[in-house]
Amino acid sequence: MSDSQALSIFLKSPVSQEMLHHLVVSTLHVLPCQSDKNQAYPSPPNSPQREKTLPSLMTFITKLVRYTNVYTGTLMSTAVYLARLRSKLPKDAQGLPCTRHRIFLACLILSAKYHNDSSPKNKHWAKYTDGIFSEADINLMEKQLLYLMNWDLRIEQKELCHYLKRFLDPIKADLKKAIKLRQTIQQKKRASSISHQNQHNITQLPYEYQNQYQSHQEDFSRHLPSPISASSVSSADSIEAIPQLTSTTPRSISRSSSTSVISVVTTPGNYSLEVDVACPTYGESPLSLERQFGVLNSSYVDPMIEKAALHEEQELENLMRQYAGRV
Amino acid sequence: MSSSQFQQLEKLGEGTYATVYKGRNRGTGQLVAMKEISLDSEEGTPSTAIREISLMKELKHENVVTLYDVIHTENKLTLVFEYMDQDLKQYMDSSGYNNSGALDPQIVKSLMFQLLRGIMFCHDNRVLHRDLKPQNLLLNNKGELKLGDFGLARAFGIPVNTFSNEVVTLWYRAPDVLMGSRNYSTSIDMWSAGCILAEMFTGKPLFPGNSNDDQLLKIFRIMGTPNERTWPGVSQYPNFKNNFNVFIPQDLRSIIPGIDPLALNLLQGLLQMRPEARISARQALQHPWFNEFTNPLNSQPIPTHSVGSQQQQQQQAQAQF
Repeated sequence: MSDSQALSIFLKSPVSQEMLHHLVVSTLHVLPCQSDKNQAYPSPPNSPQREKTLPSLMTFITKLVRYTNVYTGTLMSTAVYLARLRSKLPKDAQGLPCTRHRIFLACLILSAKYHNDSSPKNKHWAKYTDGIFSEADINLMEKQLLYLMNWDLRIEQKELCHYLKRFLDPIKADLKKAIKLRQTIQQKKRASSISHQNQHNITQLPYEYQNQYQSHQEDFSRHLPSPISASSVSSADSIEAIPQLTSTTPRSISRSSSTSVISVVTTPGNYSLEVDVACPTYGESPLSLERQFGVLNSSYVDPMIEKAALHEEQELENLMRQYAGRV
Repeated sequence: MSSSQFQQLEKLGEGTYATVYKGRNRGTGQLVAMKEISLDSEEGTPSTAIREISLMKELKHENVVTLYDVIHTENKLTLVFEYMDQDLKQYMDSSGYNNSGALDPQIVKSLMFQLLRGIMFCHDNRVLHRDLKPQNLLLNNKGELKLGDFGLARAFGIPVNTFSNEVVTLWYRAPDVLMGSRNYSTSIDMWSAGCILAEMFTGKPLFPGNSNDDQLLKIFRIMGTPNERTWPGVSQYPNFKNNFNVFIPQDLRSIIPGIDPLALNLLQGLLQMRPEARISARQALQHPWFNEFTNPLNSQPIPTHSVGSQQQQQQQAQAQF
């Protein structure tokens, strides 16, 4: 019950930077890919028709999300498909530099087609990639992914909860606390109505409740690794203070890449909710979609930031390789 | 598997997005139905095909048509299904007293029981069919009925899905969906089942509307116009209008004269206006009308007598093939 409650709250919340990051890491995990800069073996130069340089996965995914206004559920279901794909690919599978972009895009297209009664056509998806992929590319990647997944696109709630655990756990914890608090408040009310009989209780309960709440808030902020998470949790106003996506990216790369691996993998989700103590209003998050997309609302990507994002993905990749090598 | 494994025979029918051919498995000689979907490069693989394949690969039941194989080529997607002799629409058109399309009550009972079993299996597996109608109910010469065409079907149960209310062929579409509901569930299929039950008795569609509004009107004319008293919350639906023509509910016996009181009771359970009040497939299968199939003391264990059990009907049915 609490799983499905947390899930529906999560799915109603707008797409956050944290979610995009999670998907970038999940996509990186699917398979190792040759990178342009760091090739172990010489390989022929890029085919001439691909003039466009490949953007970082972060930029690629962010743009897709921005262009399509995709639902949180449709977007985050790709995490399940990515994991399925990873388990299906042979261990020694290796991709080209653009393989992961293809994989993510195909997962998103299939998720959109499977989960929604109406969804963009492939020719629209081609546009959303800013010309990186053609309609024919997209038709091919869709077909290949259907084949690899054996057309198995069904997602059970349990599976979805498993792959979104790090986003759902904090919501569940909050729900539990909210319930406790509500009970405490009710008890308090009941106690005060019979206060003359039982004064001891009244004085004790509110304090207990306050302490609980404070420690809860401390927990919450302690989990937040970086300014970006803190800002997206706190309130709509602070989000608006960040003019556009590009300005949020440098924060994530200002961390050294090794810590960013850890923070990406282990931070609890900074789903954008306000914790209303007495009566949580999770369903209607204060951050409306418009506001959220206001944040992601410029198609301009600062080349320095893009370079840094690419660099970070490269570092992540290297770390994962090292890790895989040791195990 | 390559398409050359199946020999393509005559065309069986044409739908909006697919053409169905009769086919034969060259290896086994077994007859199959091949549903060919031509791929449009702008659209890519149609979402209807993606869902139909994804869902039908899992749904294996005697009252659901079996998907054997999928052949995906550059410009064509072919779904290979178990072969069925005809659909319920064709069967009704070719049978009944004086070609009225009305079926023998005993056949209606058998077909309805199988329809409900197929629906229950889908719902138990968290799948909504969303397009139940006589054309999508397939029959073979053994009298078996199977649910086919899952092009509009959807998995339900996780909050990821978004739903459209442009589902189910108009005549079989539930009033809540007609009024714009998007959070419908299994009850959407139960309304269609009710319409089909009535149609099997009379040979005529129960609510043959020609537009969304006309469809609602036809339903209200027979079932009565809902209001906040008969259906609390009805005025909250997007397409609800305060100036709906007001009708009082009719006795369904005037539409289906001589209907078995038990069958009438089941029909009333299926045609409840309020989706929450509509009977589920599981409950419907336990309805006393089906006692002879469900009661272990009874000697009629399986309801699959030949569809053409009446000689005249059999001849007509065979002429059809």
